[in-house]
This record gives sequence, structure tokens and C-alpha cells, in this order.
Amino acid sequence: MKNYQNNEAIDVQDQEEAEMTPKTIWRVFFVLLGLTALEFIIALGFVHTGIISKGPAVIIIYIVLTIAKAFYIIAYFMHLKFENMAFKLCLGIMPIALMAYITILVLIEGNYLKGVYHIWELWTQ
Amino acid sequence: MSTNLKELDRVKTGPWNGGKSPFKLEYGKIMIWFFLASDALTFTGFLVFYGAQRYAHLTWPDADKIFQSVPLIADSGQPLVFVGIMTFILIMSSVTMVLAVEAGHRNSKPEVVKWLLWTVLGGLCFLGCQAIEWTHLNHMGFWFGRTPADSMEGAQIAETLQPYFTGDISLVSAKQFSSLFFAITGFHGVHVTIGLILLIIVLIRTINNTYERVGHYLMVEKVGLYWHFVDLVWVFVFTFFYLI
Repeated sequence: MKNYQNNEAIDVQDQEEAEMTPKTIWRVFFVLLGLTALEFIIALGFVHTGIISKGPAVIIIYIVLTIAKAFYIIAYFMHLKFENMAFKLCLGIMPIALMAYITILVLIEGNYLKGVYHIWELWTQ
Repeated sequence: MSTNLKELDRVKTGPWNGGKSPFKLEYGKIMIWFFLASDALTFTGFLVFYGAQRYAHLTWPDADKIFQSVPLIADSGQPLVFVGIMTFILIMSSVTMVLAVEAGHRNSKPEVVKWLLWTVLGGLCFLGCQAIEWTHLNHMGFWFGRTPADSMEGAQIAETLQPYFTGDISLVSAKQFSSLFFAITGFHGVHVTIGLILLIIVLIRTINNTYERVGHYLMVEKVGLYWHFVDLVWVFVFTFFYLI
């Protein structure tokens, strides 16, 4: 442990060991498994059987659950939760801003196309 | 005046005052993080385009009607079961990867080897499952830019595509769905393949004591970050293709 090539990293690495024990890892695994199971219950138990019809509400629930899973993977498995704030901001701000930007733009475009597509028979065939 | 000079002469110890590593991370790890951030944007582009297409079309094939087979068990009638198994395999291999990284922190070579082997096995299983799924879809008539109803005309199109739709039937939607499905899961599969190659290289180097001699297992961590990213992308692909 002490013979890290980068001496600055030593203190941080020592802290990490205490934070990511096999016990934490398995706990995070069960959280991910639980969230996935919940998605399956919604998809097969409710949507597939027709109790709830597919619509914006179900889609939002799916996306929220997915983002929750993504958070657990990034924070614990990829260890970002234990890095320092400067690094988190430096890494995170740009992609998150661009993702939000492109999502909004392309969905606006999709909304426009929806109006255009079904003017022609080709698209509704 | 003298107090001011003293003030200037004092050695500054803050994280951003030079001679320090403010992120307290090794260079290679920072670089793999930034690579992953840019790769995430590539996948965002793909998935957002899929979302926009789906949103723009009046009707869309139902995933739980297309993905119904479990190899060797049932040819149809088991919606999303097989993809559930695939998701489980990938999450599992992600867990074994963190365990390998954790063992690397303790400099315990045998454990690193053990967990890396499990991770490689998980990755191979996932790729195998994906190959089976692709083959099955290909037999059903779906492929890049191809649907089962391509060479048909008139009412026959609707008849052939009937099993895959809940509402109205559209050949264009089916074609968009199959092209995008193969393009995006294919791109993800390429990432899994690259990850596997990296894992195998790291495994060989661990067995050869390379990291033991260097004194740390940071390379295992870096490949681990990439492997978790592959899992992360699958989480999104799974939601957008199979659930929504």
C-alpha cells in the first residue's frame, strides 16, 4: 500500500479501503438487484398483463429507477462518491449539461417530426 | 511591510497552491474517467435518437412481444425473461470486478486472479447470450434495416407484423426499431468485447506478477472503471429497449 508511485494518492487510498469493504459491495449489489426486480415487476406484473397501460407515468418511473441504478453504479462501484468534490465537478458538469441539452433538443425535434410524419401515407403504413 | 513579506514567504499548503495533486487521483485514472465521460456522450447520442424516433412515430413495436424466447426452454411466451438473465449476469460480473479491485487494494494476488476470472466468465456469458439473442431475432426476420415483412405488400405486411404490435401496425416503425436495436446493442457488444480483451490482458499480467513488482494494482482499477461503464450503459439500453 505504501509503495504507491504517486505519493499524493496514499492518504486517499488508505481511506478508500475502509469505505469499500466486501460487505458494502454486496449491499450495493442487492440494491441494484432490488431495483431491477422492481422494474421487472412493473413491466411483467402490471404493464404486460394490462393492469396499467404504457404511458408517460410508467416511462417516468422506469427512468427514475434507471437513474437510481446508475447512481449506485457510479457512486459505489466506480467509486466516485469517495473522490474529492473538485474532481466530481470537473468530471460531471460538462457531460450532464450536454446530455440534458441534447435530450431536450432532440425531443423537441421528435415532437416536430411527429407532426410531419403522418401527413404522408408512407409513415403510417 | 515586514508582515506583508512574511505573508508572501509563508509556504502555502492549500490543495490548489502548486506542487500538489488537487484531485488526489493517479493520472491514468483521471484519464480513463474523462474517456468514459466522452464515451457516455456517444451512447447518449444513440439513445436520445432512439427516443426521438420512438416519440415521433405514432406506433412502435412492443418489446415484450418481440423478446419472448428463452433458449433451450421456450420459443415464445416468456417475455423479457432472457434479457433479465443477461442483466443479472452483467451486474454480477460488475460485482466480481469491484471485489477484484478491493482485493487489489489489499495486494492479494490470488484473490485478484480469482475475481478477475469470474469477471471474464461473466463477460463471456453475456456475449454468448447476446449472440443467441441476435441469432434468434435474425431467424425471426429482424436484422440491420430488415423486418420480417420486407418483401411483402398490402395486407400481408400488417398480418406478418401483427404479433409485434399492440396498437396500429407500421412497417417503418418496425424497421426503425430493428435497425436501432442492432446498431445500439451491437455498439454495446463491441464495448463488452473490448472490455473482455482488456480484462484478459490484465489477468495475464496479474498472473505474471507484473503488478506485484510495480507494487500496486491501479491497472485493475482502471480496467474496472471501464467494465462498470459497460454495465452502466447496459442499464440504460435495457430500460430504453426492453422496458419502455
